[in-house]
Amino acid sequence: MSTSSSSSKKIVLKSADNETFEIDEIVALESQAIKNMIEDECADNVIPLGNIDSKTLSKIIEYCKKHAESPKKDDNADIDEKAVEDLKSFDAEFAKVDMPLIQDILMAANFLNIDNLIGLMCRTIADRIKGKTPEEIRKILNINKNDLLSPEQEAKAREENSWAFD
Amino acid sequence: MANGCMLPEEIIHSIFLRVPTETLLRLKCLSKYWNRVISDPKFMKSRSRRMILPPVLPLHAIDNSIQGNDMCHSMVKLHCPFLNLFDEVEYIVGTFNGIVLLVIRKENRLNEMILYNPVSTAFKVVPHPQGSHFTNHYVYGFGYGTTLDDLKIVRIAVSGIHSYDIFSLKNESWSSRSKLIGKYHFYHYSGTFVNGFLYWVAGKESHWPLIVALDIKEKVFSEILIPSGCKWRRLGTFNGRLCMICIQANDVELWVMNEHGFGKSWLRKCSSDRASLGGYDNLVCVLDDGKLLCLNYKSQKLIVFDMFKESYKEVNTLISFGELGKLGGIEYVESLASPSDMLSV
Repeated sequence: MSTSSSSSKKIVLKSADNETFEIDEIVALESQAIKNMIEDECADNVIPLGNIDSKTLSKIIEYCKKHAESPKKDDNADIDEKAVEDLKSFDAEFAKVDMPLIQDILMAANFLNIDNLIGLMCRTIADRIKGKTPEEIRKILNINKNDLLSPEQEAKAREENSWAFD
Repeated sequence: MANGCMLPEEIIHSIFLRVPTETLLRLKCLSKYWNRVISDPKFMKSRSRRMILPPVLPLHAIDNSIQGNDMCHSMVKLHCPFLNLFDEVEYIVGTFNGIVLLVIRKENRLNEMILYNPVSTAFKVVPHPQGSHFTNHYVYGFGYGTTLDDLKIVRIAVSGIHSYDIFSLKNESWSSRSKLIGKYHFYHYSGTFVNGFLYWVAGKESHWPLIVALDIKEKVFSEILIPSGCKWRRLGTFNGRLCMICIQANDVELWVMNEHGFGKSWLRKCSSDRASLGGYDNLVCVLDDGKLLCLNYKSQKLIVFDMFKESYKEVNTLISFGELGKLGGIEYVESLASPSDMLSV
C-alpha cells in the first residue's frame, strides 16, 4: 500500500501479521510515540508494530491521514468552520465499528500515543454504555467474571445507588 | 487483567470520566476493581463534572460538561429521599464541595434546611435555631470566611424585626442569639457567595436598589451601590468575582465588581444584543463561565446563553415549570462528599 504524494519522506509500518504500510512521515507524526522515535533517530526504515494487526493498523492510518491533512487548531485562531465540521463527521463515521475493533483501536492508539484517537474511542465507548443496564454493559465491554462483587456487595452497591437503577 | 477487561487502567479511567453519573453508579456493581475506583473521592474530584440545578420540580440536574448541541439526554431526575408526601423544594440556596443547600417547604410547619448530595442522595437536616418563631419569611446565604473549614449558613428573618442567625457547620450549632440588621427589602431568597462575602440585592427607604454584603468572618453588614442606570436582574460570580447581569432595553450586560466594597470598581465586561436571547429573558442564574441559564415560560424551555458568542443551546426538559421564578438555580460540581461530614474532603 502506498500514498499519493511523491516528494515527502516516507515511513514504513509493519503489522503483527507482517503486512507493510508505507505512509508519509507527516501522517506518522500524528503518533507521539513514532514522533519520539523519529526525533531520537531510533526509527529504521521499517517500524515493526508487533502488537497491532493489519486490520487495526489500516484503520489507524486512515484516521491519522485525515487528521494530518486537516488544519490544526493552534495553527490559526480563525480556523475554517467547514474543516472542523468535516473532521467531526469523519470522526463520527470512523467510530461506527464493532466493539472488539474499537477496543483494538483503543489499545493500539494507546500504544502509539495518539491522543485525539484515544479520546474519540473513549467517547464512543462511553456513549455506547450510557443508559444501559449493568448486564448490558458487562456484555458490551466483555468484562471477565474473575473480579465480580459478591452477591452481598452487589446488593449493597445497588441499594446505595438505587436512583441510578430506576 | 486486574481491572476485569482488556483495556488498560488509564483508558478505563478516561471512559469513566465521560459517562453520565447514573451510568457511572451502575458501573460500580460490575466488578470489585470498578467499584473501588468509582468509590474513591479522588476519582470523583478528577471527574469534576459541572452540573446545573435548574428551577424545575421535581428536581433535575443538567450535565453542563457535555459538548455539542444535544443536551436533551443530559438532564436527569434527582432522587430526593428527604421529601415527604406534601413537601416541596422552596429555594435552591447554594453549594460547596458538591453538597447543595436546599430549603424545603413543609405542610403547616417551619421550612426546613437540607444539605444534600445529588450524587449519593445522602442528606442532612440542619436544625432550627433555638426559639424559632413560626414564620417562613427568611432569606438565606451559604458561604465561608477565610477557609472552607469555616463554612456557615446565614438565615435572615425578614418579617417583623429583621434579624439574622449564623449556623457553623464545624460546630454544628447556631450563633448564641439573633442579631439585628437594617430593614431591607430583599429581592431574592438566596445570597451570592464570593471570597468571604455574601451578597444580596435589596432596597431600603430611599435607596433602591443596592447590594447588601455580609463579611462572614467579621459578621459585619455593609452596603454597596449599583452603577446608576443599571437594570440589574441577577447577581452571580464570573471568574471568581461578583458579577451582575443587567437587561436593558436592547442589551444584556455583564458587570463585574473588581474590588470588594467599591461601587466605583464596577466594570461592564460584555454587552450583547438582547434579541439574541430569543425571548428567553427570564434569567435564572449566572454560570461561572459567564453563561446564563434562562427560561421562557411561554415555550417551557430552558437555555444556556453564551453572552460572548451571542448564541444559546436549548435544554429540552419535557417538564413544565409553573411559577418557579423564586426557586432559583445553581451550578455545582459533583462529589461524593457526605453532607454530615462535608468539611473533611
